[in-house]
Amino acid sequence: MIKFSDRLLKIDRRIIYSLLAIAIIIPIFFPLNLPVKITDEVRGVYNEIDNLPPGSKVLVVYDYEPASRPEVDPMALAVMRHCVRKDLKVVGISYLELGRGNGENIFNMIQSEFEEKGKHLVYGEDLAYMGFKPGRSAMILNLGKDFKGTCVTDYRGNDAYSMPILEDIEGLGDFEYLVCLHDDSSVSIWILYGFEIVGIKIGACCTAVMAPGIYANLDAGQLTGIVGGLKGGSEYEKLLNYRGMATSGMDSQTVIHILIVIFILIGNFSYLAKEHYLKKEQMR
Amino acid sequence: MSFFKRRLPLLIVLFTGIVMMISYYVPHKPFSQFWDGANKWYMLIAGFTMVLGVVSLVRNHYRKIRQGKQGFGYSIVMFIAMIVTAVFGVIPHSESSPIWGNRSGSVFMWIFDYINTAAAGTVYSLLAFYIASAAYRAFRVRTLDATIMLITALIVMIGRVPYGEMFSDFLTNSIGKGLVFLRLDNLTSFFLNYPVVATRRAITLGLGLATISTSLRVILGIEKTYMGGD
Amino acid sequence: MKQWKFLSLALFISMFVMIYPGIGAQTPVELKIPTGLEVIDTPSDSGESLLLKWPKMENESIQWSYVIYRSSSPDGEFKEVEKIESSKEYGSDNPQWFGFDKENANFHVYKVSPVWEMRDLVLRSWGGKEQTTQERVEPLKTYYKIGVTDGEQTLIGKEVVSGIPKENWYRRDRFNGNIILIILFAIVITFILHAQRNPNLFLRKIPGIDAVDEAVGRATEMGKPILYSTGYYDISELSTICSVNILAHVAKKVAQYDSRLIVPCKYPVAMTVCQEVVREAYINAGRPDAFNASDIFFIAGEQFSYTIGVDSIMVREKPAANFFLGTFAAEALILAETGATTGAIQIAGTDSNYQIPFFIVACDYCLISEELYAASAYLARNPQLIGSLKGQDAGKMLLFFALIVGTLMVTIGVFFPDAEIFNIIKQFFTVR
Repeated sequence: MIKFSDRLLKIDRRIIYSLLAIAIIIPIFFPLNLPVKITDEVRGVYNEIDNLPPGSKVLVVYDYEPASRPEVDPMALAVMRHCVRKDLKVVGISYLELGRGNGENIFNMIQSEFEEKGKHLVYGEDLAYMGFKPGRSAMILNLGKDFKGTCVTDYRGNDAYSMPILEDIEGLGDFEYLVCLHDDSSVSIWILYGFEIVGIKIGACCTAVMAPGIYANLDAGQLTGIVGGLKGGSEYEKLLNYRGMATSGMDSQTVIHILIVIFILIGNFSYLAKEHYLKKEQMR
Repeated sequence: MSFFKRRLPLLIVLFTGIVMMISYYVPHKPFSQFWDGANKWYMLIAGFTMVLGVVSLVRNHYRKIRQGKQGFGYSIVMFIAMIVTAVFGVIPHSESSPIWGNRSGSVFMWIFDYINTAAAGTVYSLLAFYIASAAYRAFRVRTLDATIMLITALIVMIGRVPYGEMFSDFLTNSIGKGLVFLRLDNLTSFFLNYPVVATRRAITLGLGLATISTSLRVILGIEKTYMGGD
Repeated sequence: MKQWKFLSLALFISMFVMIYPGIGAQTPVELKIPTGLEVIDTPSDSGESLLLKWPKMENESIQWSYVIYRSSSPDGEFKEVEKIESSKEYGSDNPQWFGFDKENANFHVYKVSPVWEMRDLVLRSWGGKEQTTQERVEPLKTYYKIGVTDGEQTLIGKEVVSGIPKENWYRRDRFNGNIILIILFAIVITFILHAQRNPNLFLRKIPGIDAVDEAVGRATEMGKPILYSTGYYDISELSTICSVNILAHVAKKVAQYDSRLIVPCKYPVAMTVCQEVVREAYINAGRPDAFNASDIFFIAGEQFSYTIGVDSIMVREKPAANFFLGTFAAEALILAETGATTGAIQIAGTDSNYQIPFFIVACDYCLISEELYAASAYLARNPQLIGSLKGQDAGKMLLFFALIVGTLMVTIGVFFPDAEIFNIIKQFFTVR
């Protein structure tokens, strides 16, 4: 028995990896269609966007690297779809060098998706993407004072001063809401220079690993809500009444969570069993 | 030599540190200009330092190829990738030649979408496998503390997925409303909102003080190891 | 008499009939033009905004919105710049400008931008393509009007006010932070001076740092290299500076033991600084010939390219000891787990809250948050550095005290919403 417990405790990590890979792949082909319950954190972002009057301007920040696209892109798409459905005007910007392409992709996808549905979105009037702007905290501080002067041109090289969507925008405070899509701690800098100095309301859409860290900001009223990981993304998709990439990804995530819990339980039972039999042997 | 290598850099640190600190509280010229100027200078210098990186990268990989070290073929791939990406990204986009530049449909964006994103996503996804194996090894009921951590982790892991909610619904609807405090989703929210926030705040406060104290050490020149001194 | 009774009853009924339609329904409030508009310079700013102030109107309805109009000349076209709900933007919402006077709830205040003098800026891209944009030069005298709307009708005031923003000499709204900073600085400096007089101050053990000798010794015995990563950020971040400080000590030990140190870097500037620090450490250890600059190199600025680069070094070179000290993001566990599979002794330390659990699980030793910042002082045993750590601890006690007092005050303040003292204390701890 001790030998068996020992073997379980020293299980080859490749076996764990293989089981995990199977657990990820199977739900992709055979969806579980699990129910999604909406949490207050996600509703905090949804309601804020939903209550904005048509024509309001929202700044969407693409602060995530390409590696996080599978997790953050579904949220980015959901937020953009929500904004367009509500006839809001969306301006995008990126604080990360490698985040620039993500914004461009999402803007193109949204534009062509709504074009197919018969809603023509005019670039520069209904939406605009400013691209990556360097300088990190200094850049955000400058956006607060002079948005167009800091951006100068958009991602496509158009003059920021000649874009109708930015006509009334002087500083960050002229946007009604800011949605920060991030996979690092950049939201804390947007809070510091955006919420605290300019007073703009912020909603965070982040990877699951970052979410627990920003609950303190939610608690302090610095964020209106948090859409965290695929779970948050699936809730947002449910609020918008469609099954997107986040909802289907949640099936795999659920199975993985259960599998890891089973691994932990097996590991602990083996550990306790080994301890028990060792003690027994010592008693003898 | 000692003046240029030690004293002058320390004086620059002292001057810049103090002026930047004053600039935070004095929004008037010349401090406001210094603040903006310093930020712009930093951005410019940081851009030029990329040259240092490229030189280091080229030198290292060139040496590997020249010496025919094991895996030198990857160094050749690195050179090809670097040159192709740089050339296609730097030459500006135009309507007549849409393959250049960084707009949608350009070669640069193709590389970004189908090579960079895919490769980076693959490395990132390793995290899931490593978390599983690390959890299997680390979560053991060795001590009371470890047991509390294990139970909390299990609750949060199950509470964050729909099965947790289904289990909680079963508890409250079938067994009894009195068990509402055992709902895993509520317990998860409780853990994330209170104990986690409290510990993170404590760590953040400690870190804030450490930052102030370390900054002061650097500005006053007490801490100069990073300049190669003792 | 009967007639009088009849007449009074008839009068009462007729009055009731006249008043009846109004019972239960709100009397519509007549929309009036707001008056008393003033423009003042925004206190404590760098001369980029103005404050518009106007008294709260009598019978102000929550359905109304105020509309602000702006122009660069008194006779020019006034353009709408902002619409503000009448229930928002009171003087009392901005105690950093107006204090805690109860009268502040009787006027509205709103921060507005001036019109700027602009100049053309020509951007030339590679290939000779030119594009003209604009750049701000300085704020001009700007004219404002105010109006009010109920959604259907809009009334615009005749009053025109003007102003030019001015730069201020002090951020009064940051006074609280300034005071706290001065107190903390004073505490740290006092302890540094105290430590110079009494160098034998007690410092609690940091096991991760004590294990540096063991790790370097083990690597020497095994004839394998040591890997050191300074993390996710450039040298401009304090965590990287602290990591470089520890690197200097590790490099000195490596030079003394005649082992090999590999430092893969994510940023070119950090790489140059690491090269200098390690070179100095080798010189100080009396072994300048053993220094190899090509062991300290740049891998990639992209997170996962760097991660996989470091991972592959770990797999190929199989270092006997890995040091991960600095700020780390998602790559933390990928690095630490790969290191664990190669059987290396691993010492990690990070100030990034999110990654501490991963390092604790996968590494042999982990410096938690501020320990990373303290490590250099701990290693150097320099009285001044140790004094600053003691000052830090004293600052922590002060914060602890402030937390308890603040929590008590805010809790008691709930029962006395009008008491000024509680508001002052709350504002004192609000960062701007």
